[in-house]
Amino acid sequence: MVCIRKATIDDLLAMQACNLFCLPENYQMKYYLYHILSWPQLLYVAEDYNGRIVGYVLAKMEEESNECHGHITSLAVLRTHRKLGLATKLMSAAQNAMEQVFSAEYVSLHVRKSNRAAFNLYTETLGYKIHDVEAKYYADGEDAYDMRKELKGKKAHGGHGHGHAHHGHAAHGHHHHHHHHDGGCCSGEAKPADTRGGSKAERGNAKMEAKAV
Amino acid sequence: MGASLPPKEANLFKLIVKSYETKQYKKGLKAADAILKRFPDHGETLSMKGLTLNCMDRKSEAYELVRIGLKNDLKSHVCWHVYGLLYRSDREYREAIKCYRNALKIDPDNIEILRDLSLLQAQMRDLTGFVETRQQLLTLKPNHRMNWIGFAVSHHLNSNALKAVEILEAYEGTLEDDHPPDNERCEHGEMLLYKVSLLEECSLMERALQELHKKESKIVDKLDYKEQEVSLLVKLGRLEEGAELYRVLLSMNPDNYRYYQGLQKCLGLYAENAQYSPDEIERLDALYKSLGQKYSWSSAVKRIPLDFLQGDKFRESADNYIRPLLTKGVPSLFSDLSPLYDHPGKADILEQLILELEHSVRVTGGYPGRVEKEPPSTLLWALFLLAQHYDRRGQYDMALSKIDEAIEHTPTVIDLYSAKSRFLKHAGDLAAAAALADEARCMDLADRYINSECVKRMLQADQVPLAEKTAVLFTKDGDQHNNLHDMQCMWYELASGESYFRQSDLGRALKKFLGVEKHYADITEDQFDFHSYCLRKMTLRAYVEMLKFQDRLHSHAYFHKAAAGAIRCYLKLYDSPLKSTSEEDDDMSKLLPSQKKKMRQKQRKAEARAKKEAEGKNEESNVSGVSKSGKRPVKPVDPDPHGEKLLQVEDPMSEATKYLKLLQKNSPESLETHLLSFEVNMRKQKILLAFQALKQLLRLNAEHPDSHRSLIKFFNKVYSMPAPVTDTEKLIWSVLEAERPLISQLQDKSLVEANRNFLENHQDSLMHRAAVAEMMYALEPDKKSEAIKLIEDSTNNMVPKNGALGPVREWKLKDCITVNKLLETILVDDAAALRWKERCAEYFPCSTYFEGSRSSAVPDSAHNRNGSANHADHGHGADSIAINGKLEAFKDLTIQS
Repeated sequence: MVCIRKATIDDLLAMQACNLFCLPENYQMKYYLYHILSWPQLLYVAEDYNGRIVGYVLAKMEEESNECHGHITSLAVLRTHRKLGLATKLMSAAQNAMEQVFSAEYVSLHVRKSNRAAFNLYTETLGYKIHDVEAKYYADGEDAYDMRKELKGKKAHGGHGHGHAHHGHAAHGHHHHHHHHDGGCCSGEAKPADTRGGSKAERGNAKMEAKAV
Repeated sequence: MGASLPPKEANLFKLIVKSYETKQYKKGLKAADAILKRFPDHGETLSMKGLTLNCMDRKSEAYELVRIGLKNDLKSHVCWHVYGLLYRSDREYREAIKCYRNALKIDPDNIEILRDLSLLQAQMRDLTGFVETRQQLLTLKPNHRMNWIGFAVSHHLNSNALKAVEILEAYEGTLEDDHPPDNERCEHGEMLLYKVSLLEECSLMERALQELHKKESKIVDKLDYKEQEVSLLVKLGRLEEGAELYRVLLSMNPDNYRYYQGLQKCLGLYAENAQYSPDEIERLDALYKSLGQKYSWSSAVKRIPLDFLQGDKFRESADNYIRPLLTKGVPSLFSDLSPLYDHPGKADILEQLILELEHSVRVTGGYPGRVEKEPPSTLLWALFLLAQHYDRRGQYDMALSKIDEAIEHTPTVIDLYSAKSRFLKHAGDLAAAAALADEARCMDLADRYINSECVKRMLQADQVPLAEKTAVLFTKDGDQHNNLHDMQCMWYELASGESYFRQSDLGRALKKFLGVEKHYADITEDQFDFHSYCLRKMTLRAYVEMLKFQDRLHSHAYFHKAAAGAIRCYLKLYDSPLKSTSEEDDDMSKLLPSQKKKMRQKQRKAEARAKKEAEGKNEESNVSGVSKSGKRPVKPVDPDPHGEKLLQVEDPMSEATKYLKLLQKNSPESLETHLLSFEVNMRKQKILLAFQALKQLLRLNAEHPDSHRSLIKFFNKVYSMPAPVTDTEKLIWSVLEAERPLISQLQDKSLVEANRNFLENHQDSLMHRAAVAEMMYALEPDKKSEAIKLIEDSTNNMVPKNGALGPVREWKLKDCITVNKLLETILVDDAAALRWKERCAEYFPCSTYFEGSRSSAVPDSAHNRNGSANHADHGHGADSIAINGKLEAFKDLTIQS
């Protein structure tokens, strides 16, 4: 029904359109370019039979206190394409790449406290655990759960995933602060100036939303 | 730098530079002023002060200071460099390059300036210059990795991939055996994959594969390694190994359709046109059956066979495919099946199949031939599928009745309302479609998708203020009214531009279209920072892909729409420069008196509100210039929020030409491009350019009604021109004389004959007849009644289906509206227009445009929902569903803000 594949540069405009149509956290094109030009392995799209992008995952690597880890910037699946397990497939693909290519120890993400559908996906299907709560993380004042999932194939208890999803228990670690250093696990190079998303992304780290899963 | 200064001032000068780099502009300014107190004419200090002010949004002072600084010290490379940086910040890259070149004349080995120059050369695609600069940088600093990589990439971009490989291998020669250290493994692996891809580009497949295998242990990205390997194996004709590898890739991701395609190719079972012999179909069927056993959770293995199977086998597979998805309630099932409607015969099989499933579930509670009962939701999803099927086939009555049945079955499923809204839109009732989308929106206020869908429908129904209010629920951003423009929300800007255009509000329409155009300019600009970033980060394959993407950026559909929209606005502006009040009244004359009144009231209210808002905003920004939060300076208030200034252009056609050039460059295969070029150049009296556009139209599609129109219009105009007098006129004339015989549609026919000839070739097509009628009237105005008769004599036949006549007629609603407008505005025959309208109201009973009996334009019609005016006043439709009291209250609160 839907093809899951690595995103190419040509998908970015459609990914942005998909994001703008269904999520409240949006980014300018430069932020998408920044992701694909930094970690081309971590962007995946779901493309339907008509060639339309109906979902994507946008992810990155972060290097803080020597603990190399991945971060899910944004995940979206169009409302019309729910019930196909697309979010799970997209997440698994990005997580696998984080682990295989960048040897990430864990992957983190933010989710709105009120977004039960997404929360359930992360905890029950994908094996994420709440690591922290970030007060007033979102522009409208809502809190976010800072969630994490251990990688490196460590087996977890609970949570039965789909296909090749990995399970893990929550990692203990530092506070996930709002200004990111980029360059990922491979380098300590500075990122180009002003690659943040729009005004919303500037306020905090890229935000995580999932709908219609 | 600052060499001519005494030590104290020289240190201050260093401080200015440092402050600039660390963005501490106030500090830098202070230091500059301290120097200037003692040395008021010091060129480099003046320049740096200017550069600093530039970052503080004091542009004109900046340019003045930088220019004085340069004048005072023409021999300073710093002054030239700064001048270049200033131009660069304003995206004046050509000027910036000139400045850098002057700086390098003074200081030829200045690494910083060379690096800055190389970035501009990459940005401007001055590729030979880029190669030169990168070579110089490598010569100056051969111990920097980035200089090797930059030199290699420059050759690759300059179409010399082989040279790029040589450079990379020379670079590898400088490395120790134990390279790379742990923290550079990813980057090194990327470089190796880049090199292999270069070899592939040079068609050195054998060498590329050898290199790949040799470096396997150093390539970190194992997925890309395999994808690269399989691509090379296939190109080398080693198909068995290729097939093996594709199976490995499939085991890693059985949802990637490209792997299936690759595997088919390796097995000799792939046809571009998807036409297969019976034997091939059998082999394909067997292949997918075996794959299906391996990847039972992959939906791809079940869906792909529907493409190649035919007849009974297709029916059987489709049946097996559809059943579990109906039981599960997968909302995208129809969209997934829809490409099959383009395969001959499959739509009919699907119709039969879905009808059978629906009937069986309704009557027996289970699927045909099964004793197990289905859950009650299966009937719902079967009805949903069937409704979409009828919609796709143009049977809107059936679609609406099935969806109503589904809604009655389970009134809480939002998808049903979205679908019904879409059907109503297809059937021509835009207002009812918008009202229903609003109803769906109210069922889950936290879901932006249904909010967006609703906004889209409102814009289609020309309810722009309401659409904006609705969109703001998700896009309010601090002090900003909404962030749709900042976030580059192009679909919204295009849809609202198109609505304004329909409502003849050209200023606002232009504002939106040009807004989209600006996003594309910004995206082009976005690449700038990545020229150096990617060389450091080593994401070279992605970088090169990005440059290619940027080179074709303006061929993207959204840009095309925006540019075409802007050009249409300028054409309209040119044709009717000043809109008098009487004309506006004329526009409203089509509305019912009550609608008119409401519309006027709405307009007045909107104007008053807009005025108030603008005043409020300006006051705010005048007072402080800093937002309440004190952090970000407030963005300057748009001095022309409604595009009124855009309308005051001297020469609309020269504005249009700017965007036309972009279309001609980036969308040369689009009929619309040349149609617009034709219209613009005819108005500009550029006869030869109009003729070129005409030739392009004839090349792309000579049988298109618009191509025919342009042909007749063009020669009709040329023949009516006075005999050539000037040399230029004579030249034009001789070109046309030479070219005319080459146009097969004319040969030695008169225009009247050519027009008749076109009619003979396209007797049965409404739109062709309309074009002929319009041209008949243009050529011979006394034949107006004959022209009108030609249109009215057209017949709307039933579309054949299964060899018999189906339930659907040929004519499209959109075309019928076009014809109505033709009768009204070009042929100007109100009686004929009215007759046409009445006739079409029969064909399209839901159409608001034709006031069909079941449309919401008619007071007591089925889908009437008190009209949109009511909506605007009360915030939601009278019959929208309240989920609970709290949400309902929230909705009222936000929408009226």
